[in-house]
Amino acid sequence: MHIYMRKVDYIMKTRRGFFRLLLSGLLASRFAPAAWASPVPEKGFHMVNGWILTDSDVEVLSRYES
Amino acid sequence: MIVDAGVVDRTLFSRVFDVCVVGAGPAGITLAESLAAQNLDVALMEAGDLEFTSESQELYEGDIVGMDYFDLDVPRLRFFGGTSNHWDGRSRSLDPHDFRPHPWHALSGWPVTAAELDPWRAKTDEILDLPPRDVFPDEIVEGAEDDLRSIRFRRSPPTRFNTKYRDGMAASGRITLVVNANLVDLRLNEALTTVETAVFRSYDPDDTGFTVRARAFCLCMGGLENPRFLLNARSQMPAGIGNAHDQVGRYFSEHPTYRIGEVLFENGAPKSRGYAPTPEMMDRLEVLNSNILLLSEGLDPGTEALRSLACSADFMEELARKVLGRGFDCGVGGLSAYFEVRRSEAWHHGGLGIIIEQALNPDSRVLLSDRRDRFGHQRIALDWRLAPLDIHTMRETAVVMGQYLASEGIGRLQVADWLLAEPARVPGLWDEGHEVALSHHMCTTRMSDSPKEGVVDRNCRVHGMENLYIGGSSVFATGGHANPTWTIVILALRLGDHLGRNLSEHALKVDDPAERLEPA
Ligand SMILES: Cc1cc2nc3c(=O)[nH]c(=O)nc-3n(C[C@H](O)[C@H](O)[C@H](O)COP(=O)(O)OP(=O)(O)OC[C@H]3O[C@@H](n4cnc5c(N)ncnc54)[C@H](O)[C@@H]3O)c2cc1C
Repeated sequence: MHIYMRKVDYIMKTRRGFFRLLLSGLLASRFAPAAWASPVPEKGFHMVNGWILTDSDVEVLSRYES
Repeated sequence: MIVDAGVVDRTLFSRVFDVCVVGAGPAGITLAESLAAQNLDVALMEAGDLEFTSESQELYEGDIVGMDYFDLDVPRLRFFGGTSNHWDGRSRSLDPHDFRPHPWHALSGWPVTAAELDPWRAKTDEILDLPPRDVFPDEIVEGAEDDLRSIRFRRSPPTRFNTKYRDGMAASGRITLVVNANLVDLRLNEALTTVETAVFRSYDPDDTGFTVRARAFCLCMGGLENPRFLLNARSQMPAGIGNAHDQVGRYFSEHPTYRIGEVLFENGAPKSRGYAPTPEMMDRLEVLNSNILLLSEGLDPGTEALRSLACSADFMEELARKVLGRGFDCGVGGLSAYFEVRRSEAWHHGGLGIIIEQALNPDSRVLLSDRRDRFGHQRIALDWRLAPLDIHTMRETAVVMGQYLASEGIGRLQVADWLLAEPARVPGLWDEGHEVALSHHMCTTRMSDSPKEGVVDRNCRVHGMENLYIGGSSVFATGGHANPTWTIVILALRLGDHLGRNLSEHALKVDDPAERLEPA
């Protein structure tokens, strides 16, 4: 079982706090930290729409684009 | 022997114990057993009963004021055996380089080395019922020799400290296990350097409490409760005990656990595997340690056969479709439509997960809430925060994995949008696919040479106090990526031997059968 579900399961077994848990999960604030720097792939690699591709991938894909 | 604080004749506590250990989870039980084996008399004081009770567990409730986190009475258990009553048994030592300082990670480095813990390795494995260490050695990863190691964890059955040690404690002439005994205060000498007595209360509303005297005291109440207690202990020290430099509760570290990418496998799905960065990669990219999980999620052979019938697109076509968003015709009508709908599952795919060591962040901390518990103590307000170094670590590590998968022809990785966003949109507990945290509470009374950078010294003694010690993951100087219990146990054994040596003169003196406790 997913570790978190096991915890929820545990709470339900002890018949306490489940809805409060749900609510705190939904309402809790999120902390979005500042970035360090954008990661840049090494020479020979590229990042396209988040995909990490090789030189040859990019070359093949350029044929699909044209 | 085992006694219940609610009903026991309290003249039992007129004696002076060698050590008073507070909290009977893996840390407290290991320490008590180690001290008893050295002929020391131990009072092991446990807040809960021998089994789960709501009145004890309720005392763990608190508030979340930072990032999304589990309700605080969920990721820990407050009865004999502590949280080992539902731990998973995933075990691994910290890596030797976890103990070293890294210039890009402020305050990092332990006052002790990994090698200094070696004498207690075998005993730790025995306590956690682990298979021999060399069953799963870390391995060099072909194609990423400089950057990655393939790693595995050992599994404890998992050892339940409650069932493993209960009978032995009942029969022990050295350990007095007192259940339903809640630590509510420590009374110090006039110079405020020595603990003279610890004050406990049971759950009886009319109980005014009782004191336990000992030569040394050790708090083993868990990584959230150790700092909470010290911050609440203000009867003689206005900032709390051990908090002269405002360090108690700071640097709260978890093991942030997220899905950081999606993988399209090139030649069938490999087995799921775990990796970790080499020390060289950590130095080169200035990243923290991590456990990188390549997750294989499809396809089963039947679906794979159907897919190849329905769609003859090769890997590069599928990749083009994903990267460029272009569609391709896929042969036979009905199945084709089916796979158009379920396209993401119509190829060998998987994910990239990561469990990172968290950067030491003084603003990530255990604070006190305005809400109070039945003993008048303020509850926890947990302000968990990530730092830019955590995000940097996940981004750089994802890129290294993406390069490795592509160059070895294993597959292609798409780094998750949330991670590449500026600023990163860190997932919360209810975002699917993310564990977020692992119920590991570390570094809140961290070990440091300087009292300005932590709470305990290299021997787990609270800075500025002569006889107050702390056990558990709150003393970790940094968290590493490994699950904490193995390190909690080895540190408790080391502390046991340290106290044994320091108190041995006294131990000899009291090793008189007339003074020894009789089992119940
Ligand atoms: C679901 C889950 C899965 C886990 N899986 C793993 C895993 O696979 N691997 C791993 O390494 N770790 C795992 N852990 C973490 C592991 O359980 C803890 O690291 C470990 O139990 C901590 O040991 P401890 O003795 O320091 O604290 P605890 O086990 O929390 O024990 C603290 C004890 O102190 C007592 N206490 C508290 N307050 C007081 C008080 N005021 N007075 C007296 N006594 C008090 C409590 O009742 C408790 O018995 C998991 C945790 C959870 C929740």
